[in-house]
Amino acid sequence: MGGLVQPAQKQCLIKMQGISRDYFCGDNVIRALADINCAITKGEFIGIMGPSASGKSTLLNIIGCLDSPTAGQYCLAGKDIKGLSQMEKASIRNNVFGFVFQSINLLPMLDIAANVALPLKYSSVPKHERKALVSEALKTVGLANLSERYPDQLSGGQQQKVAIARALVNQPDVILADEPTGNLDSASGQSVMEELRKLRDEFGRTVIVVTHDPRVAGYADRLIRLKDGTIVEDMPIQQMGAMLKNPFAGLDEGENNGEFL
Amino acid sequence: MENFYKRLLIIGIAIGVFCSLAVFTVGQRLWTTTMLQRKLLESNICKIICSSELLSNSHMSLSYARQIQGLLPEGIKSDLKGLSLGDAHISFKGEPLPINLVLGTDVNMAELVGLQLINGRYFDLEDVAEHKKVCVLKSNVYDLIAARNAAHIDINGVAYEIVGIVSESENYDKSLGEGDVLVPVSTLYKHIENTSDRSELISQIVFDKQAYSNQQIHHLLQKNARTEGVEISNLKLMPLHYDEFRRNEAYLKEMSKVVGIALLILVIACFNIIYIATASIMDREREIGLHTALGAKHYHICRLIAREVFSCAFRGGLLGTATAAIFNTASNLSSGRFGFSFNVISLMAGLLLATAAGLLTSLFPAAKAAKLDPIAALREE
Amino acid sequence: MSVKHLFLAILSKKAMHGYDLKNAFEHLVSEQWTLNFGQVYTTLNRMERDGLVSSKEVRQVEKPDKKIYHLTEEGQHQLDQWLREEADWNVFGDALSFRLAALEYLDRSKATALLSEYRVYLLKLIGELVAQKAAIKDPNSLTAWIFERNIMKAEADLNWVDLYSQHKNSV
Repeated sequence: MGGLVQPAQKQCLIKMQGISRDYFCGDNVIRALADINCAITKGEFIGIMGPSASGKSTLLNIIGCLDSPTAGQYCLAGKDIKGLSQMEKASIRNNVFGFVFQSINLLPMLDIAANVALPLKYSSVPKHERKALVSEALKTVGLANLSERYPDQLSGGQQQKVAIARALVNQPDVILADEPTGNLDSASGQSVMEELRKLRDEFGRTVIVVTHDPRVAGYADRLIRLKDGTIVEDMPIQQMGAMLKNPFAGLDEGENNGEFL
Repeated sequence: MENFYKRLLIIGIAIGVFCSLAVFTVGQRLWTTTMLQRKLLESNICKIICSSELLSNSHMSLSYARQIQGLLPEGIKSDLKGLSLGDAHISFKGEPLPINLVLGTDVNMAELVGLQLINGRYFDLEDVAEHKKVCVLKSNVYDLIAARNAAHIDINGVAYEIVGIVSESENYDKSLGEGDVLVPVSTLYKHIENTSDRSELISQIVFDKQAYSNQQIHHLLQKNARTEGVEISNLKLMPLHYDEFRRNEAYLKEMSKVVGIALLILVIACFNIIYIATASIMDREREIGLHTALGAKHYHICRLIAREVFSCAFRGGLLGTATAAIFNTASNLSSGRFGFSFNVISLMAGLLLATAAGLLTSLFPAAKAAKLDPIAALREE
Repeated sequence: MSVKHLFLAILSKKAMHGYDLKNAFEHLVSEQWTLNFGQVYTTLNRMERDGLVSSKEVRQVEKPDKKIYHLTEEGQHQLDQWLREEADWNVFGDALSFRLAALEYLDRSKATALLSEYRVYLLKLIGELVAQKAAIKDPNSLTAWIFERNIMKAEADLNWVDLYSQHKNSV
């Protein structure tokens, strides 16, 4: 699928060519992804949509170096991921990516600050610098005052924001979110999505959100729709007013024209 | 880690450490006993007994025993021991004393059986030959009556002159029994036991073999017996503490069974710990997957799990050590000995065993945790 | 159902001139819809022609005179009638249903293409509605809730498109 408008001067961060991922289940081969071609620029907000089992989580896992493709080439910032050791991949997960999950996955025994600090434990950040990074990340998501609470003392939306702070704390280039609003009510979901959008607008992070919620279109620059492991649509979303200059269009003359195309 | 698993793990390790400490404590006793055995066998003090087919320890007459004494190489110090104990009423100036056993011995027995002369003298040949009514008291009995200017005590209402006072030394031959009043063996048979037919029967000849080996002594005895025309075919030469040695041997056999069982339980406990720790890790798959996704490397995950199992092992170790100490003290008290079985060595051994068990048992689960597939762990269904 | 009716509602509360009416209207829709003066005065003229409003010139010093619009009895009557009107639900009452029916008849593959075009349209529509709703200052204003209603309608439509496409593929 084409439809990619890549301005030449923009830095191409993620480039996937012919990516496939097969799962072997006894004698059966289950093809989760088939021939994915896709390029993602630094600072883009991408929504990956699709029905369940369309391969969107697999794609996210491959992007995040949690999974490896069976075929194809994946270049991250111009570097081929193939042939990197487990240790190098762990470093990439730690430094380049920040993960946000559907089930929020905070550790209940640790307070908020300690949860946010987890990725720092696995990086080379010296201990005395960690505190400042944690409070900065919590400030970014507007929860600086809750750092001493425990996860069960927070609402679902607040917990997901803590998870976003955790994904941010290492100042990664890319935030990967797998159904971040899946377990939240619509108001909390909206504020979580706004938080992710803020990361793109104010901090220039690349944000990739996997979701089946079409409302992601309200925040994304681009939607990629997957079906049966292939990209069926890859479309840019222009925000603000391109289509709805007059939201009450058609009411003026007393009749509803219902024109949509 | 889930509290449930933590508790199971601590209990498992506590059982393991308890068993280990049982092994350790019993092992310590076995070691002491074995050392004692060696000392018993290496002792220079030997005895000659007259063994019949029916009784392992029958008696010889005083004159026969003296004949055998004469066969021993020159310069070897020897003495005779009678069938020692007799029942009697013992009183002092008409007032009964809380003892009723009289020990009959031959001359100069004191040193050889581990009695130390504190005051006075021991029996001499005249005392034995003439069945004299003399006695030697152990210091604990003499202490009861010393204040009252004691020169005689009454045995079965007859006055016996106190000629000496002795105390038990470390080497006291316990086969002599608890008799606190000693009289010449001939006197015991003639006046106290009142069995004239057993008069002057000697149960064994005790001697210090010095530099001679048992074989040399045996050889010399046979050689001298032929020259003197003495029949010695039913005599036996053996270490003085041979009976004690046999008892220890039986004890060692029983104890090694206990050690075997404890080791078996320890092994089972280890397997249980491995099982529990692995189950707890399967339960925490998602958490471990999360750490992987956040950039944890394999050694981070291993360290995370190992640290947890170790903290459990440490607590389990304390618990097991404490339980074993209580158990050992209780068993010591019940067997009549007193003492806390809680020294620095057993504490160190307990913690060492716990840590070793923790290390051993955490290796497999930690390796398993590091190998978990983070994608499967994080899957949302 | 038009701007006309909202004008009637605003004027029934207070007579005002065109500029104030424009501001009052925009305030009512939380500034999500701006009118130009041409639209305002065309609509007002038409309403005056139909006898729904009447106007009165007010003289001003150093400024052009301004017209104050009042609601007439006929206007009040039409407003009351409109507020009482029952919503009618026309099953084929939108262009998609009609066009889909026609294409299904003429060329089935074009019907499939129409559906996927419509899906793209809906996604972009939802995107804009969500973005615009987020831009509303008061998230609990009626306008915000009206945007939410439209998002939900679009989501429902998207859901239907997905289900129907799936059904069409499986047949």
